[in-house]
Amino acid sequence: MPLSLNYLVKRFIWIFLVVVGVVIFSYVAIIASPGDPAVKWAGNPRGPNASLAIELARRELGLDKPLHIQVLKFVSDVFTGNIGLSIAYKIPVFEVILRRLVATLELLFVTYLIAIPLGVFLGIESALHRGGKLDTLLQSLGTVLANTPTFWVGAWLFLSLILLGAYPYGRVDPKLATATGFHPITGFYLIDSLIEGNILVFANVLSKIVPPAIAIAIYPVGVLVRLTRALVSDTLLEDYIRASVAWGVRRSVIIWRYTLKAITPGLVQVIGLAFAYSLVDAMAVEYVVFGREGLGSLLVDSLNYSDFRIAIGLVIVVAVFYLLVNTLTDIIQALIDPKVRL
Amino acid sequence: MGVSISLVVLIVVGFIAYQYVWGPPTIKQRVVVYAYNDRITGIDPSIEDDTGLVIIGLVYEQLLRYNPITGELEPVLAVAWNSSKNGTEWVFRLREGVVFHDGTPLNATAVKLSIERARDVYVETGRGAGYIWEALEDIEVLDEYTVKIVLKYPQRLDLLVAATYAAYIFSPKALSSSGASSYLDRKLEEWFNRGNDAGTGPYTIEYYKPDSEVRLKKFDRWWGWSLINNTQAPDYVIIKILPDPQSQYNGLISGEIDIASSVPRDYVSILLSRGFKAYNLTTYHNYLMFFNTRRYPTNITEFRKAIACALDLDEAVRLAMKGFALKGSGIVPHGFPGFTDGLYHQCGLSEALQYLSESGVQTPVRIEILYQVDYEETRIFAEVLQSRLRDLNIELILNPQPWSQLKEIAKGVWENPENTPHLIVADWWPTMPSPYDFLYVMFHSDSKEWNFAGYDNDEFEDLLDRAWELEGINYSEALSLYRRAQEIIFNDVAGINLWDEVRPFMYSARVELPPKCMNPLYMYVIYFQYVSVRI
Amino acid sequence: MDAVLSNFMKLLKSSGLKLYQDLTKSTEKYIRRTRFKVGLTITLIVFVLALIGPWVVPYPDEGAGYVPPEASLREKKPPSLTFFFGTDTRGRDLFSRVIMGVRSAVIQIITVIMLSLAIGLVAGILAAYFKGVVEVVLNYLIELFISIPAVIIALVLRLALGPGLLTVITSLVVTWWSWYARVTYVYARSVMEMDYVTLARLSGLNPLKIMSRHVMRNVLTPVLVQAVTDMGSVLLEASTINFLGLGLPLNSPEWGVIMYEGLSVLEIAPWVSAFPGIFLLITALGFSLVGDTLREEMDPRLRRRWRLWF
Repeated sequence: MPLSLNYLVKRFIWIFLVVVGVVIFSYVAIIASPGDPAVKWAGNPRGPNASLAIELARRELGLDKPLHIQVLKFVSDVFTGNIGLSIAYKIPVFEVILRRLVATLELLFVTYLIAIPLGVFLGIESALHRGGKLDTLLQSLGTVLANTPTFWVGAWLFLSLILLGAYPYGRVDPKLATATGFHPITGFYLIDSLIEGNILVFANVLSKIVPPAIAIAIYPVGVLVRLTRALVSDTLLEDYIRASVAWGVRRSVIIWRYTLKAITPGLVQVIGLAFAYSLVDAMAVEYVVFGREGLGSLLVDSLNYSDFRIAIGLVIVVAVFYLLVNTLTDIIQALIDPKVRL
Repeated sequence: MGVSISLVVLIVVGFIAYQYVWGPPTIKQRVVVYAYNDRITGIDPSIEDDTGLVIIGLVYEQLLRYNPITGELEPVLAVAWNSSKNGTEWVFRLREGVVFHDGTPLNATAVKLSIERARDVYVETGRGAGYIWEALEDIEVLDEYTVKIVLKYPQRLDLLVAATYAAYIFSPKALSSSGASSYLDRKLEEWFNRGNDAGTGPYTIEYYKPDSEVRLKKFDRWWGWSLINNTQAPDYVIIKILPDPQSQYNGLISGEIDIASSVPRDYVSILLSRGFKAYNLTTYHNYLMFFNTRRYPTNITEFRKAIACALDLDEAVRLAMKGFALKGSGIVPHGFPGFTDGLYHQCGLSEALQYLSESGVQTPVRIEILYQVDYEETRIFAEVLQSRLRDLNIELILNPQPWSQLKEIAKGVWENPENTPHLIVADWWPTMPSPYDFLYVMFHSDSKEWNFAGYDNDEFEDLLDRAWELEGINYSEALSLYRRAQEIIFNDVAGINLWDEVRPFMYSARVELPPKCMNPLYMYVIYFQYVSVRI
Repeated sequence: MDAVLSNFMKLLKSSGLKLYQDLTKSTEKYIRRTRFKVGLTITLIVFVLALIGPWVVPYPDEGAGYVPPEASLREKKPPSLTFFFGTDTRGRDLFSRVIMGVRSAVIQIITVIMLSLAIGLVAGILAAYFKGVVEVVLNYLIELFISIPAVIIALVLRLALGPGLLTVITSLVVTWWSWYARVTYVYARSVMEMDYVTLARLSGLNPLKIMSRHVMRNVLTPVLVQAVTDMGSVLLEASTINFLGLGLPLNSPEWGVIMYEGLSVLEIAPWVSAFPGIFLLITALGFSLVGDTLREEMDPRLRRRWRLWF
């Protein structure tokens, strides 16, 4: 077992400490920015009795106590999930954020279900045609894709689909969902509709999730085309591959079994990083263009409603997401690559 | 592996093809989706004074509803009413056989409780629009269906019970359902804001996510169904929260949305050519520019006049509102009681320069404008004004802010005028059908929360107070006083009504919006009981 | 701006030009050379436009945000000989706005990269040199700031400070420094293990001297090359922040801002979002082509490390 319990314990303590740091950072952002933090925390209350609400916020934040007590209190409030109601929506902050996070994650999963096979396949093809026209084309394409502004492509993709008469808008057709009695359970609509055996909703959700997923997939495909080519090129020079060729192993077996297996650890590392990074792309694409409720629209709304609590919640949730994806990548790598020991 | 991938692809393609070719199954229920452009700030019928109206208006009812265009009062929960003793005593006879969504019957006690809660929450915590009940002396329950309201001074109480906010009747059973000890208990408000309702309206809340979607279900026991006889009324109303106009447009053309409250104004003509229809609502939603009258140089009347002249309002309406607005005149919007025509500045650059030199302000000079960041139209307006003032050698600094921040900064004009921007653009819609709502709230020196001009004029305030007191006695005389008050503001250039919005509600051909389904006083509420939906 | 240019020239002299000569000698690497040439050409044009932009565009005032009188008569006009790229929703000449956007792009890129590099280099070297508590604390801070995407920090800063260049740049620097700190740290740690550093330490040389003379010198080139590659990413990220309305004011000549404006008229006036998008893509591509080639040449093993973190 390349993965030790000791590592996991250490890693999770580390994550915990980093999250504490993120929380402290957010707290400092509230305290240090101009204006009375209690007023901001109370959501700029108005009216003759606004002072009551501000006083309440002051007590909630413990502003009357010394700084280290304040910070401790805030950190413990966050970890008990107790940072109050959203200023804009008057419902618990984490309830809104988690619901939106699930929507964005669903989109990301579909994105990578498209991006990984496509990117790896093109990368291998490119490596097999090293120096040829196809290779040049694919590598240039990879470079261009990795530098394309995703939200921009998303907008154009949406426009062209409209002109073609397809409308990949929203997450699910509300009329269809209401008429067929669809009720979210996990928040992943693809999974929920399958659990409920609601094939119509499943098809509807799928037809809406694929176009934005393609737009977001542009970046990981661009990265993977180039990365896979580099990894495969190295692997093909390895002695055991040469030996296999000499032994007369079929070409397809060498490529799709031996080589793919050899490059998987390298791929996993980069896919993990790219996955976390794509979160930001997903936020920009789902917002405005595809009309999907996710973290992106929440981000913009929390700005427009100056909802400080949602903003802080977002900082924390997204940081935890990044750290977890990072750790998960390390763990998977350790499990599949005998050279890595954690 | 290749086989399994192609199998998956085949299934996926099959599903999508099935969906596109055979289309969705015949939907047996009438579902209508209404895209609304703001999140729901709350749905407590007594406290909510903002966007929750779009839901409250369908779920709860007032005693009366007022149509300001025809000047008619429509009976809702009250069927008869009269006043006596010079307008200080009002008796309302309630409709019989009305039930709340929780099954309990409507009675006079519920009316008393609802009005008193709205007033007391305002008095105790300062929240909500309960200030409309300021003149309330006492509410007496005469019998099960008769209620008498006694006032401290004469008022048009028939107009007040038709107010946009703080006039909704809820079931007293909500107290026990929420476990609240009294109607001031926060538990009751939280119970409401979790998506519970206790109204009498034609729709009841089924699913409540204030950031994304609210689903309303038809209330079969509503008293009005037998009266309006609309068999095609929607069974479900889905209110989708879509703050971005572009997103509403996309939803509309994709067929997901049936009615959109705010598509980008540029797209209206495209939608019309594609077979969508428009319901153009002349609203009481207007945009005002306040001048900080307590800070140099906007404390100089000539300087304010120079700015007013430099601004071509017709052009601003064309560019910022794409023509979907009426150029403002006076302060009160078109079609509202007290509207006064001809009170707009009609001058140009040369007169602006003349006023500028009369003001004695040395240019170049820097001033600052504060406006709301999430409105495309105010952004365009600010950029236009910036460019026009540049022609006067006045540098305008743009300061866009979210609404709550804007308000916080703007009301600083009283405490700290030197740190408050010179120009402030804000929008307003009325809570009650009286010009007083506009003029008092935004220009009276007692209204320090909303008077962003820092305007303090005794003559104006005297006129206004007299008009307010006259409303219950001599309505037409009161209106002429309101007109004179607006002339004073016009001559002082304390604030300019930029435009009154005309809002095109775009809708698909599968729904029918009769004129009756909207009322500018209850902005954004669509009375879906009158709407017919094809299956 | 002069400082920016001279820094860039210095960078080119230290690694780029020499490499370019090496590359041109080899015929095998024709493709790589072409990519490098293309990238360098794009980059040079970008820098030149950033310098002379306001003097070559037909309507510099409109480029900077001035709304012409009678704007409603000339808004959303398609590309023509008068307006090469058409006009935007406020009747401004889009060509002027997009070209003047080059300068905003360059200013954002250079400021963010320079500040992040400076902080990252110092932090990374300190962590590698001092080890122990300093190392743990700095690694902790690196991990902390590497875990929050700049967009989210921009949201918090936008709420706290309001819109403006400061918000964009601060939010980007807050995350990017940690990336350079990590890269520097990795290199510096291997340098620290070299014999001559150990010798220098044993001989009691001033730590500052060791750090600047031995460690910094060895670390600088790879980190600088990394920075060139990242310039495109910084630009894309800054544009995303501006696109979401978290950064620069909405009448600035900035590509993300213009694209946001164009998005609402995508079907009526597609050119408004098309042109800034193309410029953004090409500029990011230019930096990426130059950086990638430099990096692959310098150390073929390096290309494993993709810049992926926001």
